[in-house]
Amino acid sequence: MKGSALSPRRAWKEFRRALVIAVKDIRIYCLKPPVLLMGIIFPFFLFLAFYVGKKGPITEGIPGLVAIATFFAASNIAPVGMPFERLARTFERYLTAPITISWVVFGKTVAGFLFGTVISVIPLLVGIIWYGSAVSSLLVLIVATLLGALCFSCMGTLFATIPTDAPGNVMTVLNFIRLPVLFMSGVFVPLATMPGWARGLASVSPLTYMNDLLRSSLGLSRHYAVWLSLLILCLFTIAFYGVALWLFMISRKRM
Amino acid sequence: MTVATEARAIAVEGLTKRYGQLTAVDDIYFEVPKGEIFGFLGPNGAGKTTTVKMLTGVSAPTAGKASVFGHDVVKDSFGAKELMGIVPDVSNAYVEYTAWSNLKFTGAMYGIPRKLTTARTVELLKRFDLYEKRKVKVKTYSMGMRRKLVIAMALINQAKILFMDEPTTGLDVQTVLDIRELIRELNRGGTTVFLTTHNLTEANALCDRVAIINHGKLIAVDTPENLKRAAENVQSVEVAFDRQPPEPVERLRSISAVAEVQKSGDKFRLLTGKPDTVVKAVARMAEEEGLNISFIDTPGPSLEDVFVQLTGISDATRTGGGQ
Repeated sequence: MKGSALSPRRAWKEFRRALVIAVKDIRIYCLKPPVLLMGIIFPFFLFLAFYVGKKGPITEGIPGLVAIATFFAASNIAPVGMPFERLARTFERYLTAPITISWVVFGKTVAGFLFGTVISVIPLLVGIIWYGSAVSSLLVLIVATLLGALCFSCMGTLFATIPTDAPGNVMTVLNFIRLPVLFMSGVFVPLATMPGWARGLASVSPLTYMNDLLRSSLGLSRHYAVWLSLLILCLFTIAFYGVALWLFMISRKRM
Repeated sequence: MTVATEARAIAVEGLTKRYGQLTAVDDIYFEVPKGEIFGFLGPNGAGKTTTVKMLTGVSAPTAGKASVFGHDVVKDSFGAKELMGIVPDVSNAYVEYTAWSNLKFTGAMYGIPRKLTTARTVELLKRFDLYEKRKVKVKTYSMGMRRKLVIAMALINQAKILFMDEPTTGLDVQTVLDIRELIRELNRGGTTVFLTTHNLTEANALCDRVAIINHGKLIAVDTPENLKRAAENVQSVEVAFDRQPPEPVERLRSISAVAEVQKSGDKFRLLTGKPDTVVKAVARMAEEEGLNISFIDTPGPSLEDVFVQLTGISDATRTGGGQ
């Protein structure tokens, strides 16, 4: 068992190396223009565009802002980083290093997760400290934020499998998916006020469940039971990660 | 050559790589004993890089198997990779990082303790004259500095086997000589070196044995001197005159024993199987034309000659040999 892929010692070694990749990715890619633009600036201005002049308390919009920030930030690191790595052929460094591809994918996902979590905390603190959002369930708030960041990071990892060395190509496809997902998720329009067909569409978006959980944790109305939102977010996370891993394995075999 | 199992650094058996209909590497066999500098030569597209990619775990073989120090590169690629240092054909350091951060990152990827990585980082940066610029981002480095950094990164884990793909490409003469000396020094310390190169002078100067691959097939594996001996029919006469004779190439080609004439600077290289006959004929020609012979030599076949003969490439398409 000592040297096998299943040995705890080997798993620990690979886990640590995956974290090294995650830290490196955050240090290198979080300041890249596509990450700054689409991961931080765009969601902030999108929120402003929808909420400035809108009637009702700003605290109603805080869960949506946190969800959008997490959604865009966490899903941005891997799709921006991977094409750069292919272009500079730094991805080959992972392939020749003593770490298996599944742990490399894990490291890339952790980078998005950490970045998304950190970015989500900013609007959350602004909402709580500045605008007086009340936390009704700290546990749900923490779990929703972490699970949401993980889920969207896995989604980003899935898009990072697109075999191109041009970040623009991945971002185009990613935004083609992300923007409709954003608008159908009940972030800007409460789910309760949506027509039935729109609520049906919203139910296939992971962002819907993160937003609903955040609303619940900040003492606002929710549409789904907490356990159901958590379960569905978990299923989305597993599906995104599973498919991403499978696609990375396939591309690895073709090399 | 058969090497005892425990003495093998690399063992390759029937290694094959196909991309659809294209067979890039076709059923090759060879062994590299521990402590050897092994040269891997071939023209562009011959299958060199594909072979290296399979040996280093980047690419999976279609058939056959290979092992590095007894670790199967597919079934136990983790174990094999822990023993390798790799200098790829491109300088793929992280340009957004400093040289310092690149080496620290590489050390961490090999699980080397932090203090040890720091000590080795300092040592390697000093050795490659990069220490003064250790805090400068690699994007500002020259091509030569990047190459040196990538070589330093390959040495951070003090690997038992070093795969080097064109390590001296793009470097100035002094650095090339330094790196060749470094390779010899590492080898004296017990490191096995697998050197892929176009530079036949480099292979001749460094390698204990060389393998020549062409169209995916291994066509020779032997010491440079044995290969040269096997190609003794490729002999030549090199001659230079004090002034150019009229239509010199045609005139020299008309000598019956000359198979081919190559002009190299002010010299003419006459390929022949009978150097003695050619020397006499050249002397007669010089006499008739009123020329003085300023230089004449009968060198044996070079590794480049062997390479050309075995791969069948024409002189015009020689792959930078003898650089």
